[in-house]
Amino acid sequence: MAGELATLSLVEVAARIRSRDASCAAVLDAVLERAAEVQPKLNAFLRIDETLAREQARLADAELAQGRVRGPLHGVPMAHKDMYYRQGVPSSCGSKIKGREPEKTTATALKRLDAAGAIQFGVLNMAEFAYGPTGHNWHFGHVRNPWNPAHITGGSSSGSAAAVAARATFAALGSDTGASVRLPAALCGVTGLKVTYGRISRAGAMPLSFSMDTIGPLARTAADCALLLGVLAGPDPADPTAAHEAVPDYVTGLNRPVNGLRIGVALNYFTEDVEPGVGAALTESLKAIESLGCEIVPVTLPDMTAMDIAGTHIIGAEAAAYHGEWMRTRAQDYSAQVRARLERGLTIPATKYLDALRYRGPALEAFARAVFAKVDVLHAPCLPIPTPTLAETDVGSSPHMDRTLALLTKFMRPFNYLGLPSLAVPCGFLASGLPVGMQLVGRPFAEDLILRLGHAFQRATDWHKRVPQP
Amino acid sequence: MQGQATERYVAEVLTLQGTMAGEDVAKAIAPALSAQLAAAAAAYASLQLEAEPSGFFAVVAREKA
Repeated sequence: MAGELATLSLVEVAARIRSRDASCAAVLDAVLERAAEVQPKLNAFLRIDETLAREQARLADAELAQGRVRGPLHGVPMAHKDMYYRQGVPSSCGSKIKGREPEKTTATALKRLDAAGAIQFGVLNMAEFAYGPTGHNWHFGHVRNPWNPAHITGGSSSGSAAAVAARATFAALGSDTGASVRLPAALCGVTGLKVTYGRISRAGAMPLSFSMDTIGPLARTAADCALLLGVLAGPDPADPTAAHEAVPDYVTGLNRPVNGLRIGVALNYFTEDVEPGVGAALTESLKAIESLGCEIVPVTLPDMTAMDIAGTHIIGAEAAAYHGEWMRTRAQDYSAQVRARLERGLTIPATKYLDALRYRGPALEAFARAVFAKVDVLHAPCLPIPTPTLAETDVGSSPHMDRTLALLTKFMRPFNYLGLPSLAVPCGFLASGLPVGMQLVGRPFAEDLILRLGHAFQRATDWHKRVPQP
Repeated sequence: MQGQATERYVAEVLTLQGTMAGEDVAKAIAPALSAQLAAAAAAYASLQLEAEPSGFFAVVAREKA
């Protein structure tokens, strides 16, 4: 029973709890058992708060017995990337610098999950200060890919993706500044949503780059992400950048038809450097989408490389500014890799940073003209290469490491720069047994559409149902 | 030429900032940075950029679903 409960999707387990087919305590037992089993192999968790979570589950069961349901996530246990602050509890942010002092506020995202009834039972490993695409963490140990522990999980939401894939949490918050939800989602074979810039409040979440940061869920399915987005999205007085756009009913919208949608496939950029196994999986995914009644339309993209570079400049300059004081006073407490990246940010001239910001409007306009004037959604690979190993992407492993790291993010970072929503969806496996991911990119605030298409794809395929055995 | 200037700039900034790095780090990161800066300069050169970065949000508002 316990093992079976842990393999349910978030939507399924929430329904079982509400109907009292499963108790909150039993569901929590199932994920705690699974977490204990996989943690020695994956190093996904930084802390598990078992006693507190059990007390919360007991209360949640008592409430259900009295007919009280807090919200759509009543009693569902989750763990989150350790960069969402909770008042009175330290957050490490994957670093040696933070994590000693209790936080003074609680992140709006956590408050909203709490209000919906979710139970946070732990915090997850991550790249130091969310500034790394591989899942290495030199302070707390590297996170391992559940499909093959010799390989990277991707980052920076490394623990989030590994734990969701291993069925050790039903979902997890990640953050996506330059691919950090979608990349680990793709490499670990789970579903990850990068939202439109401003769709979810960032109050109480560790900043990396305030012009690019977004918060997003990683879960088993697009439907799970839809349920979570409905809870998380919306304006917030504590975050003036949170959008005031109406929040649609993402869950109800999932079942609207997708036939007749126009799906764009790029004739350039997303065809570069794509290795055959990845390309084959993407081709098959397009066939599946076409079989849903969608029309496949070729599109020629504007200069995506410039957008990738501009985004890199913005992240570099803003991260270096945010870390300035610690760089002056605690430089020795950073890992060498993160410190070197931050130092690189110090060297970006203000004029280049401002050019990158000024180029953002014209770039989005050019992209919208080339893509959204012709199609509803763009289909693209998450990354062009198979999942590298930890050793291949470790410090000084190869003179080609910089290029490998650039290839990990080059297909995703432009959408952070453009502020567009993008859903990473598992769409196949390589001969090596490692998963492949596709991304579905939509217009600003069109999360409902990409979630609907992702849901339809997952009803027609079973890639997301495969469970790794770490 | 640009590489040398960048390298010098890195060293100066790092010295000013009081971090340890100095010339070794500057040498290591300057080539990659120079390439990035050169590529960005080429990419932006032909564009009519707005005076302020706020144009992005105007496009978002126009293009939203």
